[in-house]
Amino acid sequence: MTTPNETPNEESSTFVRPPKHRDWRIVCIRIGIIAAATVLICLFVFRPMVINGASMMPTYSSRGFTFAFLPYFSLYDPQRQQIVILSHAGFNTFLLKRVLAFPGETVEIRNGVLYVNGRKLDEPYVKYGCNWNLNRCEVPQGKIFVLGDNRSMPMREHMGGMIDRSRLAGVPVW
Amino acid sequence: MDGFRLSKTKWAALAAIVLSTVFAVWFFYFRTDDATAVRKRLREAVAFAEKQPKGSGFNLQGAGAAHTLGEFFTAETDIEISGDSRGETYTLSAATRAQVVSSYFMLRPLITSLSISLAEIDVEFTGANHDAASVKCSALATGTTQNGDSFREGRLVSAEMILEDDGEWRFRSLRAEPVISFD
Repeated sequence: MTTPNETPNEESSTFVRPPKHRDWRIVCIRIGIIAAATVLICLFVFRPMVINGASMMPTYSSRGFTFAFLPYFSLYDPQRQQIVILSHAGFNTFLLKRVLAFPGETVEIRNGVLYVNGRKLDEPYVKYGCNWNLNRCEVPQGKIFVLGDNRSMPMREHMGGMIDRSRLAGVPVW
Repeated sequence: MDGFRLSKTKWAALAAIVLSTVFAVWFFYFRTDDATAVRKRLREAVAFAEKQPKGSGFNLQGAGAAHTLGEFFTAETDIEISGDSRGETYTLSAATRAQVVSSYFMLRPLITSLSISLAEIDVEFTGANHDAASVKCSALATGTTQNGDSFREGRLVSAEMILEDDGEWRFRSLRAEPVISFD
Protein backbone atom coordinates (compact mmCIF):
# COMPACT_ATOMS: atom_id res chain seq x y z
CA MET A 1 0.00 0.00 0.00
CA THR A 2 1.61 3.31 -1.03
CA THR A 3 0.79 6.67 0.40
CA PRO A 4 0.34 9.69 -1.90
CA ASN A 5 3.83 10.95 -0.97
CA GLU A 6 5.59 7.72 -1.88
CA THR A 7 6.99 7.01 -5.32
CA PRO A 8 5.45 3.85 -6.72
CA ASN A 9 7.97 1.09 -7.14
CA GLU A 10 8.63 -0.64 -10.42
CA GLU A 11 6.60 -3.70 -9.58
CA SER A 12 3.44 -1.74 -8.93
CA SER A 13 3.76 0.04 -12.29
CA THR A 14 3.12 -3.25 -14.11
CA PHE A 15 -0.49 -3.03 -12.96
CA VAL A 16 -1.05 0.38 -14.45
CA ARG A 17 -3.25 0.10 -17.55
CA PRO A 18 -3.04 2.56 -20.42
CA PRO A 19 -6.10 4.73 -20.87
CA LYS A 20 -8.83 2.98 -22.88
CA HIS A 21 -8.40 4.14 -26.43
CA ARG A 22 -9.95 2.15 -29.27
CA ASP A 23 -7.61 1.88 -32.21
CA TRP A 24 -9.99 2.00 -35.17
CA ARG A 25 -7.36 0.72 -37.57
CA ILE A 26 -7.13 -2.51 -35.61
CA VAL A 27 -10.92 -2.75 -35.41
CA CYS A 28 -11.26 -2.24 -39.19
CA ILE A 29 -8.56 -4.79 -39.94
CA ARG A 30 -10.24 -7.34 -37.67
CA ILE A 31 -13.63 -6.73 -39.24
CA GLY A 32 -12.06 -7.01 -42.70
CA ILE A 33 -10.35 -10.28 -41.87
CA ILE A 34 -13.54 -11.73 -40.39
CA ALA A 35 -15.59 -10.60 -43.40
CA ALA A 36 -13.06 -11.97 -45.89
CA ALA A 37 -12.82 -15.28 -44.02
CA THR A 38 -16.63 -15.55 -43.93
CA VAL A 39 -16.92 -14.88 -47.66
CA LEU A 40 -14.20 -17.41 -48.49
CA ILE A 41 -15.70 -20.05 -46.22
CA CYS A 42 -19.18 -19.49 -47.65
CA LEU A 43 -17.87 -19.64 -51.22
CA PHE A 44 -15.51 -22.59 -51.02
CA VAL A 45 -16.22 -24.63 -47.90
CA PHE A 46 -19.73 -24.30 -46.46
CA ARG A 47 -21.88 -22.72 -49.11
CA PRO A 48 -25.36 -21.65 -47.99
CA MET A 49 -28.09 -23.07 -50.21
CA VAL A 50 -31.79 -22.39 -50.49
CA ILE A 51 -33.65 -25.46 -51.68
CA ASN A 52 -36.08 -24.57 -54.41
CA GLY A 53 -38.14 -27.43 -55.79
CA ALA A 54 -39.93 -30.52 -54.60
CA SER A 55 -37.84 -33.26 -56.19
CA MET A 56 -36.30 -34.37 -52.87
CA MET A 57 -39.49 -34.37 -50.83
CA PRO A 58 -40.13 -35.53 -48.17
CA THR A 59 -36.43 -35.71 -47.26
CA TYR A 60 -36.04 -32.00 -48.04
CA SER A 61 -38.94 -29.61 -48.22
CA SER A 62 -39.32 -27.37 -51.22
CA ARG A 63 -38.39 -24.22 -49.29
CA GLY A 64 -35.58 -25.56 -47.15
CA PHE A 65 -32.15 -24.30 -46.34
CA THR A 66 -28.86 -26.09 -45.91
CA PHE A 67 -25.15 -25.67 -46.30
CA ALA A 68 -23.17 -27.54 -48.93
CA PHE A 69 -19.86 -28.96 -47.76
CA LEU A 70 -17.93 -28.42 -50.96
CA PRO A 71 -14.54 -30.13 -50.36
CA TYR A 72 -16.24 -33.47 -49.58
CA PHE A 73 -15.53 -35.13 -52.91
CA SER A 74 -11.91 -34.08 -52.77
CA LEU A 75 -11.69 -36.32 -49.72
CA TYR A 76 -14.18 -39.13 -50.29
CA ASP A 77 -15.90 -41.02 -53.10
CA PRO A 78 -19.67 -40.90 -53.46
CA GLN A 79 -21.59 -43.77 -51.88
CA ARG A 80 -24.74 -45.41 -53.13
CA GLN A 81 -27.91 -43.71 -51.85
CA GLN A 82 -25.91 -40.76 -50.58
CA ILE A 83 -27.51 -37.35 -51.06
CA VAL A 84 -25.23 -35.14 -53.10
CA ILE A 85 -25.15 -31.64 -54.50
CA LEU A 86 -24.37 -31.38 -58.21
CA SER A 87 -23.37 -28.39 -60.24
CA HIS A 88 -26.18 -27.73 -62.70
CA ALA A 89 -24.67 -25.04 -64.86
CA GLY A 90 -21.93 -22.91 -63.45
CA PHE A 91 -21.49 -22.30 -59.77
CA ASN A 92 -24.77 -20.60 -58.98
CA THR A 93 -27.38 -23.29 -59.45
CA PHE A 94 -27.07 -26.76 -58.03
CA LEU A 95 -29.09 -29.96 -57.99
CA LEU A 96 -29.86 -31.94 -54.85
CA LYS A 97 -30.12 -35.63 -55.74
CA ARG A 98 -29.42 -39.13 -54.48
CA VAL A 99 -26.66 -41.23 -56.08
CA LEU A 100 -28.02 -44.61 -57.10
CA ALA A 101 -25.63 -46.19 -59.60
CA PHE A 102 -22.04 -45.92 -60.77
CA PRO A 103 -20.23 -46.43 -64.10
CA GLY A 104 -20.53 -49.94 -65.49
CA GLU A 105 -23.65 -50.75 -63.48
CA THR A 106 -27.02 -51.24 -65.11
CA VAL A 107 -30.15 -49.43 -64.03
CA GLU A 108 -33.75 -50.22 -64.81
CA ILE A 109 -37.05 -48.94 -63.47
CA ARG A 110 -40.11 -51.18 -63.64
CA ASN A 111 -43.41 -49.82 -62.37
CA GLY A 112 -41.58 -47.37 -60.15
CA VAL A 113 -39.17 -49.92 -58.67
CA LEU A 114 -35.47 -49.29 -59.28
CA TYR A 115 -33.22 -52.20 -60.15
CA VAL A 116 -29.43 -51.82 -60.10
CA ASN A 117 -27.52 -54.65 -61.78
CA GLY A 118 -30.80 -56.53 -61.98
CA ARG A 119 -31.43 -56.43 -58.21
CA LYS A 120 -34.16 -54.41 -56.59
CA LEU A 121 -32.80 -51.48 -54.60
CA ASP A 122 -34.44 -50.93 -51.24
CA GLU A 123 -35.40 -47.27 -51.09
CA PRO A 124 -37.11 -46.49 -47.79
CA TYR A 125 -36.78 -42.75 -48.44
CA VAL A 126 -39.19 -42.90 -51.41
CA LYS A 127 -42.56 -42.19 -49.83
CA TYR A 128 -44.60 -41.37 -52.90
CA GLY A 129 -45.12 -44.24 -55.31
CA CYS A 130 -44.86 -43.94 -59.06
CA ASN A 131 -45.25 -45.99 -62.18
CA TRP A 132 -42.07 -44.96 -63.93
CA ASN A 133 -40.47 -47.26 -66.43
CA LEU A 134 -36.94 -47.04 -67.77
CA ASN A 135 -35.41 -49.66 -70.00
CA ARG A 136 -32.27 -51.30 -68.70
CA CYS A 137 -29.24 -49.23 -69.53
CA GLU A 138 -25.63 -49.10 -68.45
CA VAL A 139 -24.16 -46.09 -66.71
CA PRO A 140 -21.38 -44.85 -68.99
CA GLN A 141 -17.86 -44.20 -67.78
CA GLY A 142 -17.48 -40.79 -66.21
CA LYS A 143 -21.17 -40.59 -65.28
CA ILE A 144 -23.33 -41.46 -62.30
CA PHE A 145 -27.06 -42.17 -62.09
CA VAL A 146 -29.03 -39.93 -59.73
CA LEU A 147 -32.67 -39.42 -58.86
CA GLY A 148 -34.67 -37.34 -56.45
CA ASP A 149 -36.68 -38.93 -53.66
CA ASN A 150 -39.96 -37.50 -54.89
CA ARG A 151 -41.12 -39.56 -57.85
CA SER A 152 -44.76 -38.65 -57.72
CA MET A 153 -44.54 -36.50 -60.84
CA PRO A 154 -44.40 -37.89 -64.39
CA MET A 155 -40.93 -39.17 -65.21
CA ARG A 156 -40.37 -36.68 -68.01
CA GLU A 157 -40.88 -33.83 -65.54
CA HIS A 158 -38.33 -35.21 -63.09
CA MET A 159 -34.80 -33.95 -63.45
CA GLY A 160 -32.78 -37.11 -62.99
CA GLY A 161 -30.71 -39.73 -64.75
CA MET A 162 -27.14 -39.75 -65.98
CA ILE A 163 -24.89 -36.85 -65.13
CA ASP A 164 -21.16 -36.30 -65.36
CA ARG A 165 -19.39 -37.37 -62.21
CA SER A 166 -17.31 -34.22 -62.46
CA ARG A 167 -20.44 -32.26 -61.56
CA LEU A 168 -20.38 -33.59 -58.01
CA ALA A 169 -19.97 -30.41 -56.01
CA GLY A 170 -20.49 -31.45 -52.41
CA VAL A 171 -22.86 -32.85 -49.84
CA PRO A 172 -25.55 -31.17 -47.76
CA VAL A 173 -24.54 -30.63 -44.14
CA TRP A 174 -27.97 -31.72 -42.90
CA MET B 1 -5.51 12.04 -39.75
CA ASP B 2 -2.67 10.90 -37.64
CA GLY B 3 -4.15 7.44 -37.30
CA PHE B 4 -3.73 6.60 -41.01
CA ARG B 5 -0.15 7.71 -41.46
CA LEU B 6 1.77 4.94 -43.22
CA SER B 7 5.44 4.34 -43.69
CA LYS B 8 7.01 4.36 -47.16
CA THR B 9 7.28 0.57 -47.11
CA LYS B 10 3.58 0.22 -46.34
CA TRP B 11 2.68 2.70 -49.07
CA ALA B 12 4.77 0.66 -51.50
CA ALA B 13 3.07 -2.56 -50.41
CA LEU B 14 -0.36 -0.96 -50.72
CA ALA B 15 0.48 0.36 -54.19
CA ALA B 16 1.73 -3.08 -55.24
CA ILE B 17 -1.52 -4.70 -54.04
CA VAL B 18 -3.68 -2.14 -55.84
CA LEU B 19 -1.66 -2.44 -59.06
CA SER B 20 -1.71 -6.22 -59.03
CA THR B 21 -5.47 -6.18 -58.41
CA VAL B 22 -6.01 -3.80 -61.33
CA PHE B 23 -3.80 -6.00 -63.51
CA ALA B 24 -5.71 -9.14 -62.51
CA VAL B 25 -9.06 -7.48 -63.28
CA TRP B 26 -7.79 -6.35 -66.66
CA PHE B 27 -6.19 -9.73 -67.41
CA PHE B 28 -9.27 -11.79 -66.61
CA TYR B 29 -12.07 -9.44 -67.67
CA PHE B 30 -10.90 -6.80 -70.15
CA ARG B 31 -7.95 -8.32 -72.01
CA THR B 32 -8.81 -8.82 -75.65
CA ASP B 33 -7.44 -11.92 -77.30
CA ASP B 34 -8.92 -14.45 -79.69
CA ALA B 35 -10.50 -16.55 -76.94
CA THR B 36 -12.04 -13.45 -75.40
CA ALA B 37 -13.45 -12.46 -78.79
CA VAL B 38 -15.06 -15.88 -79.18
CA ARG B 39 -16.54 -15.75 -75.67
CA LYS B 40 -17.83 -12.25 -76.31
CA ARG B 41 -19.48 -13.35 -79.56
CA LEU B 42 -21.09 -16.30 -77.79
CA ARG B 43 -22.47 -14.02 -75.07
CA GLU B 44 -23.77 -11.59 -77.68
CA ALA B 45 -25.64 -14.38 -79.45
CA VAL B 46 -27.13 -15.59 -76.18
CA ALA B 47 -28.16 -12.07 -75.16
CA PHE B 48 -29.85 -11.68 -78.50
CA ALA B 49 -31.79 -14.91 -78.10
CA GLU B 50 -33.07 -14.04 -74.64
CA LYS B 51 -36.60 -12.83 -74.22
CA GLN B 52 -37.85 -10.38 -71.66
CA PRO B 53 -41.26 -10.81 -70.04
CA LYS B 54 -44.09 -9.04 -71.78
CA GLY B 55 -44.34 -5.43 -70.75
CA SER B 56 -40.63 -4.85 -70.42
CA GLY B 57 -39.83 -5.14 -74.09
CA PHE B 58 -38.25 -7.78 -76.31
CA ASN B 59 -34.66 -8.24 -77.26
CA LEU B 60 -35.73 -9.01 -80.78
CA GLN B 61 -37.86 -6.62 -82.75
CA GLY B 62 -38.54 -6.49 -86.45
CA ALA B 63 -36.75 -7.57 -89.56
CA GLY B 64 -33.55 -5.75 -88.67
CA ALA B 65 -33.23 -7.77 -85.50
CA ALA B 66 -33.91 -10.97 -87.39
CA HIS B 67 -31.18 -10.06 -89.85
CA THR B 68 -28.79 -9.43 -86.97
CA LEU B 69 -29.68 -12.80 -85.44
CA GLY B 70 -28.85 -14.45 -88.74
CA GLU B 71 -25.46 -12.78 -88.68
CA PHE B 72 -24.41 -15.04 -85.83
CA PHE B 73 -24.46 -18.07 -88.14
CA THR B 74 -22.51 -19.18 -91.17
CA ALA B 75 -24.23 -19.76 -94.52
CA GLU B 76 -24.81 -23.39 -93.54
CA THR B 77 -25.26 -24.30 -89.91
CA ASP B 78 -26.02 -27.56 -88.13
CA ILE B 79 -28.14 -27.14 -85.02
CA GLU B 80 -29.31 -29.75 -82.56
CA ILE B 81 -31.11 -28.76 -79.40
CA SER B 82 -31.88 -32.14 -77.99
CA GLY B 83 -33.63 -34.07 -75.31
CA ASP B 84 -34.88 -31.53 -72.82
CA SER B 85 -37.01 -32.80 -69.97
CA ARG B 86 -40.10 -32.17 -72.08
CA GLY B 87 -38.81 -34.62 -74.62
CA GLU B 88 -38.45 -32.29 -77.58
CA THR B 89 -35.52 -32.26 -79.98
CA TYR B 90 -35.00 -29.61 -82.61
CA THR B 91 -32.65 -30.38 -85.43
CA LEU B 92 -31.55 -28.30 -88.38
CA SER B 93 -29.04 -29.65 -90.83
CA ALA B 94 -27.03 -27.38 -93.15
CA ALA B 95 -29.59 -24.67 -92.52
CA THR B 96 -29.36 -21.28 -94.14
CA ARG B 97 -29.45 -18.14 -92.03
CA ALA B 98 -33.06 -17.55 -93.05
CA GLN B 99 -34.00 -21.06 -91.96
CA VAL B 100 -32.30 -20.62 -88.60
CA VAL B 101 -34.05 -17.32 -87.98
CA SER B 102 -37.48 -18.60 -89.07
CA SER B 103 -37.09 -21.69 -86.85
CA TYR B 104 -36.22 -19.49 -83.93
CA PHE B 105 -39.23 -17.26 -84.51
CA MET B 106 -41.45 -20.35 -84.73
CA LEU B 107 -40.30 -21.53 -81.31
CA ARG B 108 -40.15 -18.12 -79.71
CA PRO B 109 -43.91 -17.69 -79.10
CA LEU B 110 -43.90 -20.85 -76.96
CA ILE B 111 -42.09 -19.01 -74.19
CA THR B 112 -43.00 -15.81 -72.42
CA SER B 113 -39.58 -15.12 -71.02
CA LEU B 114 -36.15 -16.64 -71.43
CA SER B 115 -32.94 -15.84 -69.66
CA ILE B 116 -29.71 -17.69 -70.38
CA SER B 117 -26.53 -17.60 -68.33
CA LEU B 118 -23.32 -19.18 -69.57
CA ALA B 119 -20.60 -20.71 -67.44
CA GLU B 120 -17.48 -22.82 -67.76
CA ILE B 121 -16.78 -21.50 -71.26
CA ASP B 122 -13.90 -23.44 -72.73
CA VAL B 123 -12.45 -22.33 -76.05
CA GLU B 124 -10.06 -24.47 -78.05
CA PHE B 125 -8.73 -23.27 -81.36
CA THR B 126 -8.74 -25.86 -84.11
CA GLY B 127 -7.83 -23.84 -87.18
CA ALA B 128 -4.25 -23.38 -88.34
CA ASN B 129 -4.49 -19.60 -87.98
CA HIS B 130 -6.82 -19.40 -84.99
CA ASP B 131 -9.67 -19.11 -87.48
CA ALA B 132 -11.76 -21.98 -86.13
CA ALA B 133 -12.68 -22.75 -82.58
CA SER B 134 -14.41 -25.47 -80.64
CA VAL B 135 -16.41 -24.01 -77.78
CA LYS B 136 -17.87 -25.91 -74.85
CA CYS B 137 -19.83 -24.40 -72.02
CA SER B 138 -22.77 -24.97 -69.76
CA ALA B 139 -25.87 -22.85 -70.06
CA LEU B 140 -28.68 -22.35 -67.61
CA ALA B 141 -31.95 -21.39 -69.23
CA THR B 142 -34.67 -20.02 -66.98
CA GLY B 143 -37.98 -18.54 -67.88
CA THR B 144 -41.66 -19.14 -68.25
CA THR B 145 -43.65 -20.91 -70.91
CA GLN B 146 -46.72 -19.59 -72.64
CA ASN B 147 -48.80 -21.57 -70.14
CA GLY B 148 -47.21 -19.72 -67.25
CA ASP B 149 -45.08 -22.66 -66.10
CA SER B 150 -41.59 -21.70 -65.04
CA PHE B 151 -38.63 -23.77 -66.16
CA ARG B 152 -34.97 -24.02 -65.26
CA GLU B 153 -32.88 -26.25 -67.46
CA GLY B 154 -29.17 -26.81 -67.69
CA ARG B 155 -27.60 -27.61 -71.02
CA LEU B 156 -24.15 -28.60 -72.15
CA VAL B 157 -23.43 -26.53 -75.21
CA SER B 158 -20.83 -27.43 -77.79
CA ALA B 159 -20.29 -25.27 -80.83
CA GLU B 160 -17.95 -24.98 -83.75
CA MET B 161 -17.23 -21.38 -84.65
CA ILE B 162 -15.23 -20.00 -87.51
CA LEU B 163 -13.72 -16.62 -88.13
CA GLU B 164 -15.04 -15.34 -91.44
CA ASP B 165 -13.43 -12.83 -93.78
CA ASP B 166 -15.27 -9.86 -92.29
CA GLY B 167 -13.63 -10.53 -88.92
CA GLU B 168 -16.73 -11.96 -87.19
CA TRP B 169 -16.92 -15.30 -85.41
CA ARG B 170 -19.94 -17.30 -86.55
CA PHE B 171 -21.52 -20.61 -85.59
CA ARG B 172 -20.93 -23.46 -88.00
CA SER B 173 -22.59 -25.94 -85.67
CA LEU B 174 -24.42 -25.66 -82.40
CA ARG B 175 -25.44 -28.51 -80.17
CA ALA B 176 -27.11 -28.39 -76.79
CA GLU B 177 -27.84 -31.43 -74.66
CA PRO B 178 -29.21 -31.65 -71.15
CA VAL B 179 -26.80 -31.71 -68.23
CA ILE B 180 -28.81 -34.54 -66.75
CA SER B 181 -31.06 -36.97 -68.61
CA PHE B 182 -32.35 -40.51 -68.61
CA ASP B 183 -30.81 -41.22 -72.02
